[in-house]
Amino acid sequence: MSKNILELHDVSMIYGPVKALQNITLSVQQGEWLAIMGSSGSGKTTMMNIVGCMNKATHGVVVLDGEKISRLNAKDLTAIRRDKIGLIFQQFHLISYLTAVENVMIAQYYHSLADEKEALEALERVGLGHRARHLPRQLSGGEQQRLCIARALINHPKLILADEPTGNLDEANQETVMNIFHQLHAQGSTIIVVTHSPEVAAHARRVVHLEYGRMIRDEVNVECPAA
Amino acid sequence: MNRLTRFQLIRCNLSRKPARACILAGLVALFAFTLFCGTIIGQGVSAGTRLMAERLGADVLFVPYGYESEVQSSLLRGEPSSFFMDSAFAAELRAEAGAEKVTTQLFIATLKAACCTLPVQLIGIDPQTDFVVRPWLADALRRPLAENEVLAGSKIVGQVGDEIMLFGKKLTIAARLDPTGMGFDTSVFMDIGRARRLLLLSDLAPRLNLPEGLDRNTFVSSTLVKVDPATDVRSFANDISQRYAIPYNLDFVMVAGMLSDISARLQAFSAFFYAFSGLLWVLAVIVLALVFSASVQERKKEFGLLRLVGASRAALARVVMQEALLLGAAGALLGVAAAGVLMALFKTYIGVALELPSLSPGFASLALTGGGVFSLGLLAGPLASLPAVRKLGRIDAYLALREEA
Amino acid sequence: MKRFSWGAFVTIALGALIVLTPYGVFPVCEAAVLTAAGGSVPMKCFWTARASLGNGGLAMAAGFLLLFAQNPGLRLGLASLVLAAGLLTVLAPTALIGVCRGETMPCHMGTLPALMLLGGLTMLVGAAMAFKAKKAMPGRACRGRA
Repeated sequence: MSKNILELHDVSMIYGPVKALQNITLSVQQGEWLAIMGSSGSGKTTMMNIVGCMNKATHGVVVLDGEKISRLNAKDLTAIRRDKIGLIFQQFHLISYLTAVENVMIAQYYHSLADEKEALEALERVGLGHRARHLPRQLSGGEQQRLCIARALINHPKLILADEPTGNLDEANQETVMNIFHQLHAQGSTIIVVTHSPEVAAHARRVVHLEYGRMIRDEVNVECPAA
Repeated sequence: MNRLTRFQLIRCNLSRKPARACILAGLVALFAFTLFCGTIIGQGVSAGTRLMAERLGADVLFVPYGYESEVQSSLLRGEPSSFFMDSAFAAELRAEAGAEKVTTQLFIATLKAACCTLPVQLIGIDPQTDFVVRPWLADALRRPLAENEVLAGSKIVGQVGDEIMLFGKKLTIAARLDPTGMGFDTSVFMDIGRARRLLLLSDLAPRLNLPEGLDRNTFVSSTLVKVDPATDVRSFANDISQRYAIPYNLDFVMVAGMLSDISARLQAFSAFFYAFSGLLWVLAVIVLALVFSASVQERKKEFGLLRLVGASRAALARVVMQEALLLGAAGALLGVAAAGVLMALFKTYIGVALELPSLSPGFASLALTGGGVFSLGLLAGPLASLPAVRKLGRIDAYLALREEA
Repeated sequence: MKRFSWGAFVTIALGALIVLTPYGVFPVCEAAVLTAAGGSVPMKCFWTARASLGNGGLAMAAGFLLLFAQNPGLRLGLASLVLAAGLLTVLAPTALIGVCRGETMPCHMGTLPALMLLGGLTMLVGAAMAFKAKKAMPGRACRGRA
């Protein structure tokens, strides 16, 4: 049986009268592909921020790769995020004045040592080896998102966290990106995708539904092949 | 590129806004340029004045009444002039208690020397009694000057043994003076008797305007006195003036007064330059601080992203400070280099324009000054980036990205 | 798309300064030298000033052409011309013709250093433009350009 890579124990996020998350208890196993679904205001982004060490829950305990992260300070959270999590965003968030390979290397730079050879290999894996010297503005939407994926993977994270990864892509590019996710999953990566799209969620093995900050459903996607 | 270095990141970002980077570096360069020039000029004048005080020898110069400013111009700036007084005064002065050494000089402004149109100051000196010019000789001349020999100031064209033309006569350079920073540099010195004869035989003779009653065979231009150390110089000068001013129609110039006047002007000059440089430094720091603060605001998204991929707040602060350091360094280097080139190329022009005794500082002094000015310019950048670094600490990574989305 | 050329403007300005310096900013000596035969000839600085008219004019002409030239090869050639004009500006008062020997002569303490400075700056600008033109020539990979 795989060990749990992520555990949320009674986690809440309360800002005054606003309860963004309420009493969430959830475990994610290593190698699992989980989708977190919900409409706008459901709390899925808040949950992603907590899991991604970008924010701290006001209540409850969060354990990531065996380490309690709920009460760490900002500096320690940054280190955890750097070492254990690969982030992929809907808006891509690339550095405009660095080339594709440099955008991958920047993640290496703050982790350990920037290595161009390794960065080029990461780009090859997502089919962007021939675009290594191009600036982000010279890449299509799909290519930029693939670049984000390469950047997220470069430091061999324990967990890949994607926020609406296909939100800004056309159908063809959506399929390309989801195929890459399938490849990663097949290789043993743990993936959590936050999405409002049932089509995207359908690719995941397990889907958690959020509504008004509460977890209302946690179901296995029977149509998706087991890992 | 095998590795992504910090320098590459900084350079990449600065080259995104080249005009802004140039203006910021330019501000620091302006400060460095001003401070370096002002310091070097001040050092030059200070050295020239110090040398003048050490080696001039004379304490008081007695000149015809109304020619005090002429003799100062001639001494300090080498502005040629001609004026005359009775040499009998020197003989009376030698008999005075308190006069340790007395010598006379004859100033003659030539119309032109060989192939140039600038008049040269010809100074006749009494080899028996001179104590003013000899200390400046580059190599000691252990024999009297021959009939057609002269001593040349450091800026007179020609080496020892070369001939120059004065009053249509060929004269040989017997020795050269060390650089004095004063009018001696552009003067030619010869035996006073010989100078007088040349003058009387030249085209200038009809236009001489010798005062009435002056002996045409013995007239001089000034009498220089070294006062006994036990005697107060001012009291001596006043006493002599009271007794001899009317009979000989003369006035006096105190060298100490001349030097203190120069020092006062130098102090005023230095004060102005240092104040102006200080103002420029403060201006540079303020503008840099404002621009860097605005830049951090502009780059919130970029910094937010870097935080998300693992950069710590300290790492981002280092990025900002190092960008500021690079700008400061580039500006300071440019300013010092530009000032150095200009000072080297135009040193003679500056020396003449200053109208003050001035010597070029040595290499060690230049290097030390350049290093000091560079350091101050270098400091401006990181100092100015401190408010921006503080602002950086308040950026929430994810919020910054969300704002831009 | 025509790109604005700062280098061309700077070259024109420097060329103008090279022309004006020996006649206006730091004028050379006007007087002539008497020869043994009784005639008079202009001094060295007079001829240096004349040479500067040519060198400065050359730089200005090259700068003007650079305003319109788009082809990198042509720009490289014109930039090399600017560099050469700068070099000649430095050499004229030093090695080729010279100025009066007296250190305090106006041409020696003013014109000479001014021409050396302007010539040096012109050479720098020319070299920078040549470097940029060479980089833009076909067959050279540029960072970030597909």
